[in-house]
This record gives sequence, C-alpha cells and structure tokens, in this order.
Amino acid sequence: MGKVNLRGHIVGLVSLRALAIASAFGVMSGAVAQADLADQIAKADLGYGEYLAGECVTCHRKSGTGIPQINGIEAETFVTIMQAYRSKDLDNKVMQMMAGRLDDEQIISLAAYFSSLPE
Amino acid sequence: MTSISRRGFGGLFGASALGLAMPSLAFGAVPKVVVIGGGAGGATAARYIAKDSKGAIDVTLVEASKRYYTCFFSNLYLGGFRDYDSIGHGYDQLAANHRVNVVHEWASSVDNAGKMVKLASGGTLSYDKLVLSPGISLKYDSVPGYSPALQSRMPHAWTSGTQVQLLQNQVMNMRKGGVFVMVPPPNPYRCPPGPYERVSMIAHLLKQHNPTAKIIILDPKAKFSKQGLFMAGWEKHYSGMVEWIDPETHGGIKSINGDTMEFVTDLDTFKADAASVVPAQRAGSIAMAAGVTDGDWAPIIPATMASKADPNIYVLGDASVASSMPKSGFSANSQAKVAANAIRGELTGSRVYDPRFANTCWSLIATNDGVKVGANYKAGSEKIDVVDKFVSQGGESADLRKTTYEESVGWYNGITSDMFS
Ligand SMILES: Cc1cc2nc3c(=O)[nH]c(=O)nc-3n(C[C@H](O)[C@H](O)[C@H](O)COP(=O)(O)OP(=O)(O)OC[C@H]3O[C@@H](n4cnc5c(N)ncnc54)[C@H](O)[C@@H]3O)c2cc1C
Ligand code: HEC
Repeated sequence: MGKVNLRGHIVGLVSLRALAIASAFGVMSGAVAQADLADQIAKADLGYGEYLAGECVTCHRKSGTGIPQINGIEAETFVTIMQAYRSKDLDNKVMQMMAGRLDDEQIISLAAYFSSLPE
Repeated sequence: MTSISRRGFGGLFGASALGLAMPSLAFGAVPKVVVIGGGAGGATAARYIAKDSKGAIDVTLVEASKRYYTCFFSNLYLGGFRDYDSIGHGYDQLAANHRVNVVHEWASSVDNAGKMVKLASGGTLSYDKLVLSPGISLKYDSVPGYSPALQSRMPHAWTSGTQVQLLQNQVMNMRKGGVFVMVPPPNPYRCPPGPYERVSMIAHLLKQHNPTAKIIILDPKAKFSKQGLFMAGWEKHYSGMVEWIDPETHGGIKSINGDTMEFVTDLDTFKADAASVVPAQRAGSIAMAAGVTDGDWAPIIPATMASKADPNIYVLGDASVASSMPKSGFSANSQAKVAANAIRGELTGSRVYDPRFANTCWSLIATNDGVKVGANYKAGSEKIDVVDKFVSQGGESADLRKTTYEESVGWYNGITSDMFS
C-alpha cells in the first residue's frame, strides 16, 4: 500500500518530466544501460550511502509535511530523480544544490541505501 | 576510571606497537565520549556517535536543561505560527533508542591533561574524546547600559528558553500606536537572518493587534542577511511600519535606560514601549574554560571539527570558527555528523568518509511568504570553504514563497527528529 502511495507521489511530483529527463540522460533508456545501473546499485557501498544520507535526513524524515519522505523509493527511480536535480532539470534550489556536488557513485550509493529502508 | 587504565596501557603498549587500531578494544574497555551541550550540535553528535557505533562507544551527554526549546522557529512562535510546546524537545529517546547516558547538569570545567570534565555538582566524567557544543554566551555590555538585569525589560530571547514568551507578552501589551525598538547584534552572531525574521514576526503580530504601532531597528551593521528580501517584504506586508536605521545614520547607541526605555543615539533619543536587545556574542563559557578559544570563538580543523588547541576536544556549532558557514542550527547539525564520523574512526577504527557540510536558513516574512538562503561546503586545509550557494530571489511567485515556507516546516520536523529521535 505504502509503495503505491509513494509511487503516486513521485509520479505526481516529477511525473513525465523525470522520465523524459531520464531518457535524455540515457540512464534508463536501453536495456544495457539499465542492466548496468542495476548492477552498480547491487554493488554499491551501503555504508557510504548511509554516511551520505546524513546530509539528507536533516530535511527528509520518515513522514511529515513540506518535504517528501524518500525512504523506500525504488533505486533506479531515485537515481533518475537525483540526476535530474543535479542537471537542474528539476526545479528546487535546495535539491539542485544538494545533488549538484554528488557524483554518480555517490548517487548510486544513496539510491542503494534509501531503497533498502522501509517506507 | 576506565580511561585512566586505558592511558596506562597506551603508554606501555601503544596502538602502533601492537599493530592494533585500538588498544581499548584489545583490552576490552569501551572508549568514552562526553558531549557537553544537548542542542543542535551536541544532541546530533551524541545521537550519531551512539547510533552508528552500536555500543562500541560509551556516550554521555551533559545538558543543563531537561527540555530544549529550539531558538529556530522561536520567531514563528512569536508571530503566532507555532505554540510554545511545539518547539520543546526532551532527551528520553536518545537514552531509550541509542543508549546515550543523559546527565542533566552544568559542566563547569575541563581538565585537559587528565581528560576529565568537572560538573557543577562536584562530580566528574572521564573521556577519551570530548565534544563541546555549548552555543553562545552574551556580551551584555557590548550595548552600553544593557545588562542581565535588563533582560526582562528588553528580552534578548537569543538563547533557548522562556525569554521569547516574555517578549511576545510585551509586544501584545504595547500601547496603541506604540514603538518597538529592535537592536540586532554585530557580526559574527548566531543566526544572521534571525533579528530580521523577528522584526517580520513582530510586525505580523502588530498588524493584527496594533496596526498603528511602529518598529525601529537600531542596527550596528551597515548591511544584513537577505536584506533586499526582508526590506521588500516589509514594504509589501507592513508598509510604513518598519524603519531600519543603519549605524552611519544613528551614529551608534550611546546608552540605554531601562527605567525610561530610552535608547540614546547621535541621531535622536528613541523611547520604546517594548524592545528586544541582542548583544554581541562569544562561545559558551565551557569552551573558554576548556582553553580551546582564541578570542571569542574556538578555531577548529575543518576536516574533523577537532579543536586546534586540543586534539581530544571537538567544537561544534555556534562556538566554533566555521569561517563561511553561518552560526545556525542546520550548520551545527551538519558539523556534528562530520565530527561523529571522525571520532568513531579514531576510537573504533571505523571507515572515515569525506567530510561534507551544508546549511540552509529559511525565514518567514509574513503568512506563507518564506525565503531561504543556503550553501554547501567542503573542508579546506585552513577553512571551511563554500562549494555552491543559492538565495531566494525578489519577485518570486506567491506559490513558490508558500512552498518555501512549507519546506521550512518539513526541515524543522527533520532536524528535530535527527537530533532527538
Ligand atoms: C531567534 C533565532 C532564530 C533562529 N532560527 C534558526 C533557523 O531558522 N535555522 C537554523 O538553522 N538556526 C536558527 N537559529 C540558530 C540556532 O538556534 C543555533 O545556531 C543553534 O542552536 C546552535 O547550536 P549549538 O549546538 O551550537 O548550540 P545550542 O543549540 O544553543 O545548544 C547549546 C546547549 O548547551 C547547553 N549548555 C551550554 N553550556 C553548558 C554547560 N557548561 N553544561 C551543560 N550544558 C550546557 C545549553 O543549555 C544548550 O542546550 C536561530 C537562533 C535564534 C536566536
Ligand atoms: C535543505 C533540505 C533538503 C536536504 C538537505 C535534502 N533535500 Fe531532498 N528534497 C527537499 C525538498 C524541499 C524536496 C522537494 C523538492 C521538489 O518539490 O522538487 C526534496 C525532494 C527530494 C527527492 C524527490 C522526492 C519525491 O518524492 O519527489 C529526492 C529523491 C530527494 N529529495 C533526495 C535527497 C537526498 C538523497 C538528499 C541528500 C543528499 C537530500 N534530498 C537532501 C529538501 C532537501
């Protein structure tokens, strides 16, 4: 149930734009890229993800208003969203700045960590 | 006691001699961290060290108060957007969820060589690493005539606690058409936009209850944080109500009289019906007592937040010299995580990741009119340096300003659960 709600929320918020951005990036376009990403997520350093997440949980918490909760977001979607903030295709100054200095390895570690948490 | 025997062992068979990361682990003693100050920096540090070390480090938090009333959002309380209870937090969960030993006492001094904290009650606590996050103390006499005796007549409301309730009460009881005088502090001080958010929230109250009242700001600074945004907001929401007077124009406050509520400047003598005076600041007294300050604040090594004066002491938050990072709750929380990571690495050999810092300060100007300024930072060799920054723009849509305000509410819930849950 929670999952469906969360997906609904993400779709509501970033909707088709994020998907368009994703394909522009080539992240989730094509089976090869996707398999590659899945592989990197599987190999990611969860400890690093947890450390980096320290920066995020000042704002993102399990539930609440004003800032979406991000636990349990499916990892590839997470990567797509973060890359879209980084490229400023998604529009929030705080998130553009937070994502702006994350490299792909860091985003993948974060995605692996947050996707492993219960919603 | 444990730490004394540990030092004994360390001297005889140092870590390197044994080829072990940690002598304390080798001999079964659990290393001890004492954190002084259970605010934005200290509560976060205690929580992260305890949570992430999973029992491998014994964490004691020394905090004078049973409840921590956040200065952040105290302005929103003032403006009637929060009730007082909603900005108060207790320490029960730190103990229950992470086994932090919470001691509600005043720490009076530090024995650096003996690695021991002395409590006002006479007790002592030994440590392997000491974290200081005591916040600020006020230099009352920086404003001629201001003193602790005047803080009930002209509340500073700049430290956690009931001062802000007093201030709200005094604003509500101003005579019709009366004058409120705000005296902001000189740089550097806790929460750069805070005095101007306070003015906004007082204007919001007065607009509803006393619309012909005036607010005069006697600023010791020639410019201030988010100035353009605040001034435009005052003009928009509280036109004609707020007057900001820069030091060039008023020539400095020469004296304050608490009985007559008069502020004497070169320009004029201003008679207030209610006032808030926020004097200059320095690191909390325990940082002075521990000998880690140079002047008013404690210099740190950016990568770890360790004191430049004592490698076993870490200084967080307002008390530290964090160069371009403003003194804010967000900054203190961010610095705490860097220090926690470094301390765990030192004491248990856990992996130490790259230090990274961030800050965002939101301010509420009027109902649903929020603005923000933020940056992220990296540890340079001498200073904490800005990587990237942003600030709200003039002329943003009402929708964006509302979203910005809502974000601040999300952040408040986030940071307080990151400190206390
Ligand atoms: C009006 C106002 C608005 C603000 N708004 C914001 C905002 O919107 N966002 C933001 O990020 N920041 C804001 N701040 C700033 C923020 O409150 C501080 O920067 C932050 O609290 C600093 O954290 P700290 O850990 O250094 O000190 P504090 O949070 O002050 O914690 C220090 C603690 O140490 C305890 N203590 C001190 N000495 C001892 C001792 N010797 N023994 C035992 N206990 C001791 C004190 O009781 C206190 O609880 C605001 C501040 C003010 C005044
Ligand atoms: C200063 C507060 C703040 C910090 C710190 C922060 N975020 Fe965000 N985050 C936000 C806000 C506000 C939004 C909503 C933005 C929007 O509307 O596009 C958001 C949105 C998101 C989203 C989209 C969620 C959704 O459901 O649409 C993700 C994913 C996310 N953040 C991840 C992170 C990660 C990972 C970090 C740490 C590296 C982080 N955030 C740090 C404030 C923050």
